[in-house]
Amino acid sequence: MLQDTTTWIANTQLSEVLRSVEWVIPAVQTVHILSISAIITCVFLIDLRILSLFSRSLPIDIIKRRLLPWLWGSLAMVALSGSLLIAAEPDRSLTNVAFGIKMSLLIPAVVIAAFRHRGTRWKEICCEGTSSSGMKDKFIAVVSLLLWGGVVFAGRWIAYFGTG
Amino acid sequence: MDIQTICGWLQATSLATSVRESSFLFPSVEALHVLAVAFVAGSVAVVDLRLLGVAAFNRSIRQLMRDVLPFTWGAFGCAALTGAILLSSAAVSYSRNLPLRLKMTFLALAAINMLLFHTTTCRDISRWDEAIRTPMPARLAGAASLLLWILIIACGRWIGFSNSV
Repeated sequence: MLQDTTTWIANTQLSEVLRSVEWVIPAVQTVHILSISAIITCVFLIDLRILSLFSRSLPIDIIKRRLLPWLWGSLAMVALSGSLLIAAEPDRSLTNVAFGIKMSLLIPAVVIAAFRHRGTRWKEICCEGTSSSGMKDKFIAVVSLLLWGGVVFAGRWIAYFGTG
Repeated sequence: MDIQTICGWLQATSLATSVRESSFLFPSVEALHVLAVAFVAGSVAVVDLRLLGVAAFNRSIRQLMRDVLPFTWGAFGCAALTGAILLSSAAVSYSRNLPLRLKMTFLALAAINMLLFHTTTCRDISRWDEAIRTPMPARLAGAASLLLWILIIACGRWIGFSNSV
Protein backbone atom coordinates (compact mmCIF):
# COMPACT_ATOMS: atom_id res chain seq x y z
CA MET A 1 0.00 0.00 0.00
CA LEU A 2 2.89 2.32 0.84
CA GLN A 3 4.32 1.47 -2.55
CA ASP A 4 1.02 2.49 -4.19
CA THR A 5 1.16 5.79 -2.32
CA THR A 6 4.72 6.56 -3.38
CA THR A 7 3.92 5.63 -6.98
CA TRP A 8 0.87 7.88 -6.89
CA ILE A 9 2.87 10.80 -5.45
CA ALA A 10 5.67 10.28 -7.96
CA ASN A 11 3.15 10.51 -10.79
CA THR A 12 1.63 13.82 -9.69
CA GLN A 13 2.39 16.89 -11.72
CA LEU A 14 4.14 18.60 -8.79
CA SER A 15 6.50 15.67 -8.38
CA GLU A 16 7.33 15.64 -12.07
CA VAL A 17 7.97 19.38 -12.15
CA LEU A 18 10.25 19.18 -9.08
CA ARG A 19 12.28 16.42 -10.67
CA SER A 20 12.43 17.93 -14.12
CA VAL A 21 14.64 20.89 -13.19
CA GLU A 22 18.07 19.73 -12.10
CA TRP A 23 18.79 22.36 -9.44
CA VAL A 24 15.42 22.31 -7.69
CA ILE A 25 16.09 19.39 -5.33
CA PRO A 26 19.52 20.66 -4.14
CA ALA A 27 18.01 24.14 -3.69
CA VAL A 28 15.08 22.84 -1.63
CA GLN A 29 17.48 20.69 0.39
CA THR A 30 19.54 23.81 1.10
CA VAL A 31 16.44 25.63 2.38
CA HIS A 32 15.67 22.51 4.43
CA ILE A 33 19.14 22.49 6.03
CA LEU A 34 19.10 26.24 6.69
CA SER A 35 15.77 25.85 8.49
CA ILE A 36 17.15 22.90 10.45
CA SER A 37 20.10 25.10 11.34
CA ALA A 38 17.73 27.66 12.88
CA ILE A 39 15.80 24.95 14.75
CA ILE A 40 18.93 23.27 16.10
CA THR A 41 20.28 26.61 17.29
CA CYS A 42 17.05 27.60 19.07
CA VAL A 43 16.63 24.20 20.69
CA PHE A 44 20.25 23.79 21.72
CA LEU A 45 20.46 27.28 23.23
CA ILE A 46 17.27 26.69 25.23
CA ASP A 47 18.53 23.28 26.37
CA LEU A 48 21.96 24.67 27.25
CA ARG A 49 20.30 27.48 29.22
CA ILE A 50 18.16 24.98 31.14
CA LEU A 51 21.35 23.04 31.86
CA SER A 52 22.84 26.32 33.19
CA LEU A 53 25.57 26.26 30.55
CA PHE A 54 24.42 29.21 28.44
CA SER A 55 23.58 32.83 29.28
CA ARG A 56 23.03 32.27 32.99
CA SER A 57 22.42 35.98 33.55
CA LEU A 58 19.13 35.81 31.61
CA PRO A 59 16.04 34.09 33.04
CA ILE A 60 15.05 30.88 31.24
CA ASP A 61 11.64 32.26 30.32
CA ILE A 62 13.14 35.21 28.45
CA ILE A 63 15.40 32.91 26.43
CA LYS A 64 12.39 30.73 25.60
CA ARG A 65 10.21 33.68 24.69
CA ARG A 66 12.90 34.97 22.31
CA LEU A 67 13.82 31.71 20.65
CA LEU A 68 10.57 29.74 20.45
CA PRO A 69 8.88 31.96 17.82
CA TRP A 70 11.93 31.41 15.59
CA LEU A 71 11.69 27.70 16.30
CA TRP A 72 8.06 27.49 15.14
CA GLY A 73 8.75 29.62 12.09
CA SER A 74 11.68 27.41 11.13
CA LEU A 75 9.66 24.29 11.81
CA ALA A 76 7.07 25.50 9.30
CA MET A 77 9.85 26.04 6.74
CA VAL A 78 11.27 22.58 7.44
CA ALA A 79 7.84 20.99 7.05
CA LEU A 80 7.23 22.81 3.77
CA SER A 81 10.65 22.08 2.24
CA GLY A 82 10.54 18.52 3.58
CA SER A 83 7.11 17.95 2.02
CA LEU A 84 8.42 19.18 -1.32
CA LEU A 85 11.36 16.78 -1.07
CA ILE A 86 9.00 13.89 -0.32
CA ALA A 87 6.76 14.95 -3.20
CA ALA A 88 9.74 15.04 -5.56
CA GLU A 89 11.21 11.68 -4.57
CA PRO A 90 8.68 9.73 -2.45
CA ASP A 91 10.63 6.50 -2.87
CA ARG A 92 13.74 8.08 -1.40
CA SER A 93 12.05 8.86 1.91
CA LEU A 94 8.69 7.25 2.65
CA THR A 95 9.98 3.70 2.37
CA ASN A 96 13.34 4.52 3.94
CA VAL A 97 14.26 3.12 7.38
CA ALA A 98 16.33 6.22 8.26
CA PHE A 99 13.34 8.43 7.39
CA GLY A 100 11.15 6.37 9.71
CA ILE A 101 13.67 6.76 12.53
CA LYS A 102 13.94 10.49 11.85
CA MET A 103 10.17 10.97 12.11
CA SER A 104 9.98 8.82 15.25
CA LEU A 105 12.58 11.03 16.93
CA LEU A 106 11.04 14.23 15.58
CA ILE A 107 7.62 13.69 17.17
CA PRO A 108 8.78 13.59 20.83
CA ALA A 109 11.28 16.38 20.10
CA VAL A 110 8.49 18.66 18.87
CA VAL A 111 6.25 17.66 21.78
CA ILE A 112 8.96 18.78 24.22
CA ALA A 113 9.29 22.09 22.36
CA ALA A 114 5.50 22.56 22.39
CA PHE A 115 5.35 22.02 26.14
CA ARG A 116 7.97 24.70 26.60
CA HIS A 117 5.86 27.12 24.64
CA ARG A 118 3.11 26.90 27.21
CA GLY A 119 5.45 28.95 29.32
CA THR A 120 3.77 30.00 32.49
CA ARG A 121 2.49 26.71 33.74
CA TRP A 122 5.76 25.08 32.81
CA LYS A 123 7.54 27.83 34.68
CA GLU A 124 5.48 27.39 37.81
CA ILE A 125 6.07 23.68 37.85
CA CYS A 126 9.69 23.40 36.86
CA CYS A 127 11.54 26.66 36.72
CA GLU A 128 10.93 28.29 40.04
CA GLY A 129 12.63 31.65 40.12
CA THR A 130 13.28 31.07 36.40
CA SER A 131 17.05 31.40 36.80
CA SER A 132 17.68 27.76 37.57
CA SER A 133 15.80 24.58 36.81
CA GLY A 134 15.19 21.28 38.55
CA MET A 135 16.57 17.88 37.75
CA LYS A 136 13.45 16.92 35.81
CA ASP A 137 13.87 19.92 33.51
CA LYS A 138 17.56 19.24 33.08
CA PHE A 139 16.83 15.64 32.20
CA ILE A 140 14.28 16.73 29.59
CA ALA A 141 16.84 19.19 28.18
CA VAL A 142 19.34 16.36 27.70
CA VAL A 143 16.65 14.21 26.07
CA SER A 144 15.75 17.12 23.78
CA LEU A 145 19.42 17.60 22.76
CA LEU A 146 19.76 13.90 21.97
CA LEU A 147 16.46 13.74 20.07
CA TRP A 148 17.27 16.70 17.81
CA GLY A 149 20.81 15.46 17.29
CA GLY A 150 19.28 12.12 16.32
CA VAL A 151 16.86 13.81 13.91
CA VAL A 152 19.75 15.44 12.03
CA PHE A 153 21.79 12.23 12.15
CA ALA A 154 18.98 10.06 10.81
CA GLY A 155 18.14 12.75 8.27
CA ARG A 156 21.61 12.59 6.76
CA TRP A 157 21.46 8.80 6.72
CA ILE A 158 18.38 8.89 4.45
CA ALA A 159 20.76 9.40 1.55
CA TYR A 160 22.61 6.18 2.37
CA PHE A 161 19.84 3.78 3.28
CA GLY A 162 18.47 1.68 0.49
CA THR A 163 14.72 1.82 0.13
CA GLY A 164 12.77 -1.00 1.69
CA MET B 1 55.63 19.00 -3.55
CA ASP B 2 52.44 19.92 -5.36
CA ILE B 3 48.92 19.84 -4.03
CA GLN B 4 48.00 16.62 -5.82
CA THR B 5 50.88 14.78 -4.14
CA ILE B 6 49.75 16.00 -0.75
CA CYS B 7 46.15 15.00 -1.50
CA GLY B 8 47.29 11.59 -2.67
CA TRP B 9 49.25 11.08 0.53
CA LEU B 10 46.29 12.31 2.62
CA GLN B 11 43.95 9.95 0.86
CA ALA B 12 46.28 7.02 1.52
CA THR B 13 46.40 7.52 5.30
CA SER B 14 44.72 4.79 7.28
CA LEU B 15 42.01 7.12 8.63
CA ALA B 16 41.08 8.34 5.14
CA THR B 17 41.09 4.80 3.83
CA SER B 18 38.83 3.47 6.55
CA VAL B 19 36.38 6.37 6.13
CA ARG B 20 36.32 5.78 2.38
CA GLU B 21 35.91 2.03 2.60
CA SER B 22 33.44 1.81 5.47
CA SER B 23 29.77 2.11 4.57
CA PHE B 24 29.11 3.32 8.10
CA LEU B 25 31.89 5.84 8.83
CA PHE B 26 31.46 8.36 6.01
CA PRO B 27 27.72 8.98 6.59
CA SER B 28 28.23 9.16 10.36
CA VAL B 29 31.08 11.66 10.19
CA GLU B 30 29.05 13.58 7.60
CA ALA B 31 25.99 13.64 9.88
CA LEU B 32 28.14 15.07 12.70
CA HIS B 33 29.53 17.62 10.25
CA VAL B 34 26.02 18.73 9.25
CA LEU B 35 24.96 18.99 12.89
CA ALA B 36 28.03 21.06 13.79
CA VAL B 37 27.75 23.35 10.76
CA ALA B 38 24.03 23.84 11.44
CA PHE B 39 24.81 25.09 14.93
CA VAL B 40 27.73 27.26 13.79
CA ALA B 41 25.62 29.00 11.14
CA GLY B 42 22.60 29.33 13.42
CA SER B 43 24.51 30.72 16.38
CA VAL B 44 26.43 33.15 14.17
CA ALA B 45 23.03 34.25 12.84
CA VAL B 46 21.92 35.04 16.40
CA VAL B 47 24.70 37.64 16.62
CA ASP B 48 24.11 38.81 13.02
CA LEU B 49 20.40 39.39 13.65
CA ARG B 50 21.25 41.35 16.79
CA LEU B 51 23.66 43.53 14.80
CA LEU B 52 20.89 44.08 12.24
CA GLY B 53 18.47 45.06 14.99
CA VAL B 54 16.10 42.20 14.13
CA ALA B 55 16.35 40.05 17.26
CA ALA B 56 17.46 40.27 20.89
CA PHE B 57 17.75 44.03 20.39
CA ASN B 58 17.40 44.88 24.06
CA ARG B 59 20.44 42.77 24.88
CA SER B 60 23.98 44.10 25.12
CA ILE B 61 25.88 43.01 22.02
CA ARG B 62 29.05 42.32 23.97
CA GLN B 63 27.15 40.19 26.48
CA LEU B 64 25.37 38.31 23.69
CA MET B 65 28.69 37.58 21.96
CA ARG B 66 30.25 36.44 25.23
CA ASP B 67 27.32 34.09 25.80
CA VAL B 68 26.94 32.66 22.29
CA LEU B 69 30.34 32.64 20.61
CA PRO B 70 32.14 30.11 22.85
CA PHE B 71 29.55 27.53 21.75
CA THR B 72 29.97 28.65 18.15
CA TRP B 73 33.72 28.04 18.38
CA GLY B 74 33.21 24.64 19.99
CA ALA B 75 30.88 23.62 17.17
CA PHE B 76 33.26 25.12 14.61
CA GLY B 77 36.09 22.97 15.94
CA CYS B 78 33.88 19.93 15.54
CA ALA B 79 32.84 21.01 12.02
CA ALA B 80 36.45 21.62 10.97
CA LEU B 81 37.63 18.27 12.32
CA THR B 82 34.79 16.24 10.75
CA GLY B 83 35.13 18.25 7.53
CA ALA B 84 38.86 17.49 7.36
CA ILE B 85 38.17 13.77 7.84
CA LEU B 86 35.55 13.81 5.07
CA LEU B 87 37.87 15.67 2.70
CA SER B 88 40.80 13.37 3.38
CA SER B 89 38.70 10.35 2.36
CA ALA B 90 38.71 11.50 -1.26
CA ALA B 91 41.22 14.34 -1.20
CA VAL B 92 42.33 14.09 -4.84
CA SER B 93 38.87 14.47 -6.36
CA TYR B 94 37.73 17.01 -3.74
CA SER B 95 40.74 19.20 -4.54
CA ARG B 96 39.27 19.65 -8.02
CA ASN B 97 35.71 20.16 -6.83
CA LEU B 98 34.21 23.54 -7.72
CA PRO B 99 31.51 23.78 -5.00
CA LEU B 100 34.13 22.90 -2.39
CA ARG B 101 36.43 25.67 -3.63
CA LEU B 102 33.54 28.11 -3.52
CA LYS B 103 32.61 26.95 -0.01
CA MET B 104 36.17 27.51 1.21
CA THR B 105 36.25 30.92 -0.47
CA PHE B 106 33.05 31.97 1.28
CA LEU B 107 34.41 30.58 4.55
CA ALA B 108 37.57 32.68 4.13
CA LEU B 109 35.43 35.75 3.38
CA ALA B 110 33.36 35.06 6.52
CA ALA B 111 36.60 34.88 8.51
CA ILE B 112 37.84 38.19 7.06
CA ASN B 113 34.46 39.78 7.76
CA MET B 114 34.62 38.55 11.36
CA LEU B 115 38.20 39.78 11.85
CA LEU B 116 37.37 43.20 10.42
CA PHE B 117 34.35 43.44 12.67
CA HIS B 118 36.19 42.48 15.83
CA THR B 119 39.35 44.49 15.20
CA THR B 120 37.91 47.62 13.57
CA THR B 121 34.14 48.02 13.93
CA CYS B 122 34.12 46.89 17.56
CA ARG B 123 36.69 49.46 18.64
CA ASP B 124 33.98 51.88 19.75
CA ILE B 125 31.42 49.22 20.68
CA SER B 126 30.92 50.75 24.13
CA ARG B 127 29.05 53.57 22.37
CA TRP B 128 26.51 51.31 20.63
CA ASP B 129 26.66 48.14 22.71
CA GLU B 130 23.09 48.61 23.97
CA ALA B 131 21.72 50.40 20.90
CA ILE B 132 18.99 48.86 18.74
CA ARG B 133 20.25 50.71 15.70
CA THR B 134 23.92 49.82 15.37
CA PRO B 135 26.36 51.77 13.14
CA MET B 136 26.34 51.01 9.42
CA PRO B 137 29.63 48.98 9.45
CA ALA B 138 28.20 46.71 12.15
CA ARG B 139 24.98 46.17 10.21
CA LEU B 140 26.94 45.49 7.04
CA ALA B 141 29.07 42.94 8.91
CA GLY B 142 25.89 41.23 10.16
CA ALA B 143 24.31 41.16 6.71
CA ALA B 144 27.50 39.90 5.05
CA SER B 145 27.89 37.16 7.63
CA LEU B 146 24.28 35.97 7.18
CA LEU B 147 24.69 35.87 3.41
CA LEU B 148 28.09 34.13 3.53
CA TRP B 149 26.86 31.37 5.85
CA ILE B 150 23.84 30.75 3.63
CA LEU B 151 26.24 30.41 0.68
CA ILE B 152 28.57 28.13 2.67
CA ILE B 153 25.69 25.75 3.45
CA ALA B 154 24.37 25.90 -0.12
CA CYS B 155 27.83 25.04 -1.51
CA GLY B 156 28.22 22.30 1.08
CA ARG B 157 25.01 20.68 -0.09
CA TRP B 158 26.07 21.17 -3.70
CA ILE B 159 29.29 19.17 -3.08
CA GLY B 160 27.15 16.08 -2.54
CA PHE B 161 25.64 16.47 -6.00
CA SER B 162 28.88 17.18 -7.81
CA ASN B 163 31.65 14.92 -6.55
CA SER B 164 31.98 11.61 -8.31
CA VAL B 165 34.68 9.64 -6.58
